[in-house]
Amino acid sequence: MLKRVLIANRGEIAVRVIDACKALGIETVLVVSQADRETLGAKRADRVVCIGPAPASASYLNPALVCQAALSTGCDGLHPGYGFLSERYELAKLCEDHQLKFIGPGSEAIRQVGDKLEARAAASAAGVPIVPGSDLVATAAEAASLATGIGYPVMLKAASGGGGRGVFVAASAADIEASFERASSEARSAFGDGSLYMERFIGNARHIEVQVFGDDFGNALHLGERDCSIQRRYQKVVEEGPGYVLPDGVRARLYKAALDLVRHLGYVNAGTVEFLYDADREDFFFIEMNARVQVEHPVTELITGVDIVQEQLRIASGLPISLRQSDVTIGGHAIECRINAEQPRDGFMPRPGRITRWTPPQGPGIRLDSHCYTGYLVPPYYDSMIAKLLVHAADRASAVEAMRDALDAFEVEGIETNIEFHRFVMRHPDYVAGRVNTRWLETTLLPAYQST
Amino acid sequence: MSVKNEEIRSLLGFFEKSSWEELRLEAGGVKIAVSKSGSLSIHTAAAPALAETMPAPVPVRVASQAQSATHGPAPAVSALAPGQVYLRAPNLGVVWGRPKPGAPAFVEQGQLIEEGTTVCLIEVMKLFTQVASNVRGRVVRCLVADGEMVEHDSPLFVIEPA
Repeated sequence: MLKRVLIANRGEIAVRVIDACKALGIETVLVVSQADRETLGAKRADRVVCIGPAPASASYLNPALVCQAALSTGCDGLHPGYGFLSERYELAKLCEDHQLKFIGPGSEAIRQVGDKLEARAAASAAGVPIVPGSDLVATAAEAASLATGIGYPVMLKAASGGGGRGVFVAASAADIEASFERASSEARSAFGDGSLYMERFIGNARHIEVQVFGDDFGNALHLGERDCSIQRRYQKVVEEGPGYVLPDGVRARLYKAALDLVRHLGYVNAGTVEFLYDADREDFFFIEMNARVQVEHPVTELITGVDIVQEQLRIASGLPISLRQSDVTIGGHAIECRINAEQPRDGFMPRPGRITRWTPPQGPGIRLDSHCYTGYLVPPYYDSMIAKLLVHAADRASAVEAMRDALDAFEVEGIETNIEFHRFVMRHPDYVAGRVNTRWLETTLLPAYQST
Repeated sequence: MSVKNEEIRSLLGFFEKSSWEELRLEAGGVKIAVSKSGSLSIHTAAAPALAETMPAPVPVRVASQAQSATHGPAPAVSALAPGQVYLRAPNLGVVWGRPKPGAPAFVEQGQLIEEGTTVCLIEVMKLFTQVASNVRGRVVRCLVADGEMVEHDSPLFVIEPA
């Protein structure tokens, strides 16, 4: 087992990883920026080292700094969390070159799944269905001729993109040229690379993802799926599991596809294979693979009883996956709401500041992953997520009800949050009935919310 | 230029959220000096980035690889005499006081240094960055040993500005 792990992250996931390490008897070293010396993670870690000033570019986003901190403090492992450097080839490679165990897949796998075109090609080679689309498209004219074959509407996406930036939809041949130019220029300014590819745009799509694991012994395991269709600007807002709209036949094919990809890549450690589910045709397509622990991993932990971060630490320590596929059972339904310090009525603008009252809900079936407390100053430099509120109940209807109660009991003062927005989501008849898709929040819910 | 109360309030709000430890402002006959530590530095000029005079910082002594990850006993704090300032580390790294092994140190105790004088190197994964003084003064004390890891903002030298 690893002896001492450096946590190269902040916020709730730093706390989550520290707790998992403690449960396994692993010592923890947390790197912090100047702004994060007083966080909950800093209080709980065995040791804290300040690597740089508040801006992430001078601290959490510098691979050399976090690697040096790990080596200088005698760590034998490094957990990157999510975001920041978690899927950066440079960090994983730097760790490998210095005999520091990167708690995640190897650098080569990170590079491979991080390149969208290469990931699509790998999925294709593994027999995993992909959205009808193209390779790199060089010009608007080429885009126009390829789009006819793919079938309108088509999406133009940045090859080095992510988080929904650099994505444009062309509804018909009349739009393709303008969409190409806009997508290409946004990709160039956001990612320093204007390369684009195209995909068919699926109107009634759900985002379904499968939690997977691989280990050094060639084992592959899945922990079921999550439905993350409630999104705003391609960012997940509410996640739940299991995927309640999937027919059993589709579900079985989905698991097989995810595991085929894990085996094809020789993927090691935790990952998520994301799919677009075409609810009208009951068909699914590979979108991308995330080579990290995800924000919404607790949804899966609640319905399977497996501790995903502890499993990551075991696999990184060279142990085999601790359970067989037949040991995995899905029980009940779980929902997660991402609680952010933001104002939904003002374009979801981040609202950092001092929390003067922090009273989260408690009780059976409720889980809160957070780094906040009364008196905590939410700094302006980082992501605005302050907590993940989860509920677990026997079925979806009771989970929705439990989430409503939990949100109603959640009291935060001193800063603005999106708690009230989540209360609105949990009461909307479409959400309650599960009549949603990835565009529902923006096209149906937001207009209804804004008129209240 | 005159300063309104609400401007001062918003300035103080900004300061509270910032990572700055001290703020001094003179405008329109109004002088403001605030500090998060409760006491103000002796300098009347704006505190430079590297050398400042905040009281009672704790020099970070770093555990070697063999030591436990837990915090050891607090290291001895080298208090500043009036008028002295610390030269601090711009980021985490390993400190080297000389350009290469065996070479003379960049600066010696008692030496007068200029603004811009290289005082040490900070190594981050084999990449060496020169740390330059941004005050002119006499080196009172070096607080770190060669090969030691320092954190961001750790005091490296005590300087008496001249």
